[in-house]
Amino acid sequence: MEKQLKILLTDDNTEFSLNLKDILEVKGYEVFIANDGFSALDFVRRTKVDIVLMDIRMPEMDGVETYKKMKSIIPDVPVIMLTGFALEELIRESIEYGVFGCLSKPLNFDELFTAIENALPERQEYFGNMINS
Amino acid sequence: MQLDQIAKNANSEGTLLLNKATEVSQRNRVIFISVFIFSILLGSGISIVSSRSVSRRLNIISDATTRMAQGDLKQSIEVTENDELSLVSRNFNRMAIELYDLYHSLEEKVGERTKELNDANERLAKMKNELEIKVTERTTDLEMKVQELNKSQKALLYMVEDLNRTSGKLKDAQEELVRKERLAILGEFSGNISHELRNPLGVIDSSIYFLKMSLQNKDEKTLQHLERISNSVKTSISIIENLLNLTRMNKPVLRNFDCGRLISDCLNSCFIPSTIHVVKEFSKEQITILAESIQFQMVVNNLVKNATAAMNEEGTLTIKLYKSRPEEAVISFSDSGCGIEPKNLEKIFQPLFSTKAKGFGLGLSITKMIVENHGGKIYVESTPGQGSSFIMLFPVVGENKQLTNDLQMTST
Repeated sequence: MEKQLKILLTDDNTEFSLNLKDILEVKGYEVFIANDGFSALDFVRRTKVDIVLMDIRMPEMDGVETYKKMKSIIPDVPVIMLTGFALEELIRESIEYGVFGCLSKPLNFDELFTAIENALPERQEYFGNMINS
Repeated sequence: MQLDQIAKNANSEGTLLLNKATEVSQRNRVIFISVFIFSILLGSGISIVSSRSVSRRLNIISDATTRMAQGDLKQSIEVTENDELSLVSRNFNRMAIELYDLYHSLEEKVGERTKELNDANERLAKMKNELEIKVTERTTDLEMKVQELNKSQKALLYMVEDLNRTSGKLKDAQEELVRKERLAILGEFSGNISHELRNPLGVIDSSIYFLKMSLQNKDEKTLQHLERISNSVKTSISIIENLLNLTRMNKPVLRNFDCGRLISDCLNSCFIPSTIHVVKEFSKEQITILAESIQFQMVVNNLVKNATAAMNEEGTLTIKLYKSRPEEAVISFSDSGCGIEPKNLEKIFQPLFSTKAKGFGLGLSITKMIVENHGGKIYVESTPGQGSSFIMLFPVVGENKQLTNDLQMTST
């Protein structure tokens, strides 16, 4: 990759976010962290990102809410939901709304890398939506 | 007792009478003897004096006394003169009358007493009879009552047995309830803890991953330690997953699913090594069941995982779907693995039972719980060395309206 791809990571678990950031940076991505839905929306308004990783379960505004709002701001940016224990309805809702994919925690990082790569614009037309639950 | 008293009285009176009679008879005898002697003396006196009228009169008296002595008390001497002999005669007459009266009054009295005694005896006999009848009646009565009592006692004993059994069952049921309550509380508790633990475990897990990524060039020992931590974290996560699954078991939200498609979807979603050959034998007809997709997925995951392990990652897994009856669907997972020992067949569905060194044996107990929450049953058939079949029965939607109604009701 010539330019570093920007990933926005939205998760209320700070330590986990920092770990994930470290891991993704080793892989060569530039990672930004938002602690909740509001700051995530704020960020994408101001900064262009290539992909968003979103935790579903967050206090105040959950990942699905945030995604719905985000879609109206950056409709072309693929979003991958990360879910620990999440209700089936939420997952279904987000899929219906057009998330790129769903990965369950504890994360299989290989799967994560594959998903991110597949979400990259150059490949999207080949792989379409990939849903992993 | 009255009868006794009468008898006794009669007895003593009789004795008294007897004594009196004896006395009288003795007196009589004495009198007779004295009279007799007197008459002899008189007779001799008369012969010595040898006066014709005196001796005639003496003879009369003597005859009278003799006759009296012989027993004829009704003697009376005609008194014509007024001398000493007349006196004797008059005295004799008086004595005769008195004796006669006494004798007869005694006879009367004895007669009366005898009659009284007889009456008393009669009454006694009558009372005795009545008593006997009463006693017989009472005895029969009592016997019947005793029989009834025996019957009642037997009935009571049965009741007591029954009560004991019921109380035993109640106790069992109560213990079961307490156990379930404890399990429920424990489940909630452990569910909360498990959930809380996910986050720190996620952090550890991801840190390990990062360390493994960046410490590729480090020495063997370091890498080993990292690996060990990583494995332990995975194990911890696995335990938590299982615990959480246990707590999520109750009241699934059931929906209609095409059974064949549901199974296929779940198979696609779970990891099956390429060395396992999967054969699907699904009935052509559409079979609809009520299920909760996530839980059904867990069941399929569990059965596939067990089969894979039993076959040591190599072999054939055959999945069948068919209707055994219009209202019953059969889903079976059969493997060609090592099988299950007969002695373990009962136990494998119990929580925390595992024959593997690793693993916590929760999978099948969860699977069983899920199947039963879906209104179904699960059992296993196995031949050690040849393989095992896990067979699940599910009620078919549409055929068993009452059951599906019940299931739908319990799931809201």
